[in-house]
Amino acid sequence: MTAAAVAFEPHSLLALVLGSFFGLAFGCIPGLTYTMALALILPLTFTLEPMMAIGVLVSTYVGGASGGTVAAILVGVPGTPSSAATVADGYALAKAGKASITIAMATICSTLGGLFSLLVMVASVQALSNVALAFGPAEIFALVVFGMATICGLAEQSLVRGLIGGVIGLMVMTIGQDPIDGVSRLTFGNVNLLQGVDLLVAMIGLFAVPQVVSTLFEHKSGSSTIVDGKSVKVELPKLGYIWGYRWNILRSSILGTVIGAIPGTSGTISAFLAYSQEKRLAKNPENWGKGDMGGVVAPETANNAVTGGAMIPMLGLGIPGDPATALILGGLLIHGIQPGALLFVEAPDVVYSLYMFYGLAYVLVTVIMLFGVHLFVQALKIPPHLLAVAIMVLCVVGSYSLRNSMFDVGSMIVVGFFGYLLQKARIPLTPILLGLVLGPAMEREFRTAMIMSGDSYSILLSPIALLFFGMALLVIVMSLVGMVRSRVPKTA
Amino acid sequence: MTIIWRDRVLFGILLLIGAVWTWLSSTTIPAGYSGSFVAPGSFPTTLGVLLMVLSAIGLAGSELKRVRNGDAEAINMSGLSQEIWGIAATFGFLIVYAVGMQYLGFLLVTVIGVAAFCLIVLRLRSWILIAALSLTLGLGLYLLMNKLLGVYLPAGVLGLGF
Repeated sequence: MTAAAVAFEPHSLLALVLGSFFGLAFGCIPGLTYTMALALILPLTFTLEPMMAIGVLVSTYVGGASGGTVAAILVGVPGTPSSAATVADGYALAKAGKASITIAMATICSTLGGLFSLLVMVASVQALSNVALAFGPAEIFALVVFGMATICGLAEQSLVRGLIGGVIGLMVMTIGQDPIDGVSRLTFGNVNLLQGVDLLVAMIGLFAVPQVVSTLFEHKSGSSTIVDGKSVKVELPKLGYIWGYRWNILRSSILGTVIGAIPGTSGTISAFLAYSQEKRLAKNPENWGKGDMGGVVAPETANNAVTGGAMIPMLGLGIPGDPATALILGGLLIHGIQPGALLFVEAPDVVYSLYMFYGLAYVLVTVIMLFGVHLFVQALKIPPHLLAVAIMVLCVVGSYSLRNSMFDVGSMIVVGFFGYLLQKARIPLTPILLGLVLGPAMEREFRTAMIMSGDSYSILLSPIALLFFGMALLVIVMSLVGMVRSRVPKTA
Repeated sequence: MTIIWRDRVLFGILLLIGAVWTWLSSTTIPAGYSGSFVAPGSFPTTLGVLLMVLSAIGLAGSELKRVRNGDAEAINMSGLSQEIWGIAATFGFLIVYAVGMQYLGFLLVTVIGVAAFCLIVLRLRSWILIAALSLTLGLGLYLLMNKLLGVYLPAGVLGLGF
């Protein structure tokens, strides 16, 4: 009751509104992430009361995690890495005139995923944090291998081309400083290359630049389709429509929460795993990637379910699940709140207030997004070639603002050029992205496991690791069987 | 150009990249300090070899396709000039805009750059539309990033970028 009273105080609600808008703004703009939003807003919370500061931080986190969807659906450029899996189906649906219902569905599913993870967090924070501790480097490596196996499902028509895409993504991420020994790799003496190619910079280059080229090509050849302003309707999903995706939402929520609870993983990994899982279970997997609502529901539910999952080890053990929760943890410590098992005994009001803030932030972000749909879809009325100009400016601004580095802008242009060439050569872009996302974790965890075990492979044979290796093998075999079957001519 | 030839060129280039990558990884990356047999160069070298193997499979696959179906299917080259125009316009703008931003600053280069692109490349003739687009993007993003979100964009070495 005390927590509820604190959460509903006017200044707490004001903190939630401000944090939500701030997070949403960062999530919507490609290149800006909610981690950056948290890093920027954290110093501003030092002078606030502890509860108000928690409200600002939690709502920024939730707003940022939800905001990336808008750019992914409307312009085909993921606002945050975790919304990258939404691009294929979300953008296709927007082009088919279903932008408003897609944004609304993504918002509602994000909220459902987030609230599910909140409930799990409330019910099992202490028990689940012990499970999270069972994940060492070998188990996380096995999980990442399982994630990489989903390339088989994302390879579109050719498995070889999909695997080549994945390998190219992994190769790009090895450039720069080695994660274990700190030696430089393939930098050729260039100091800027030491920090490597940033994931978000690569994403902007891969997704936005080829799209701008094709928009300008269509403009020049006169084949561009200008959306009739009257045809842009605001349509919100009915309850029955959402209910149709209940199992997708439930499975993706569980997956996102579990992955979020494992330190060192992220919303991006869970989004791709959920996408791949639901595509395999779908009745019409051939429609995925071409505008299937299930392809929006799964990644959006899972990437937001990570937010609650990531709080589990943070609250229960004081271990942040991802960089964003590390910043929230920093904020709590500055205000004299020490997360860990004792927090539940010494300051239960803080824990319950955090839960309340979390739930309220999700409700608030949903309301803002659903009202905002009316405004967002107006972007579709802008002629594509003018939107292309805005996207080019945003590409440069987003790449630059990540690290205030013109080198990142140059990297984005180079990645964009090669991304365009690879796309023309029918190398699918999604496996490249998966390689970029999973590459650093894959190498880091494998090498850490090897060092820990004194170069003995037996460390990879723990029950949890074996479970994930087995699942990876199953995914590969099922994908290969599916591909062979689809190539065998059907006899009447 | 036929599809088989395009695939030959693609996989051939990737095979070459894989070979160069493997050679560079195995010769230029220093040994680490961890003492593990998995050295800093192990992962990149393995990936280079993997790219070579996959490219070789791709080459073999395209040859198999040629034996089975022949080499007659040509690539649709219509619209090539428009496509080259699209590539030149996109990368030309991105490069000039990025370089100009360092000297003129974000605000000035955005307003001038967007207006010039609309006028010269897109051949827009509505001054109101050009002004609205360039000023909205320039001023809007400047206010949003610099003033509201606290993310500072380049001011330019000439000191004209506000």
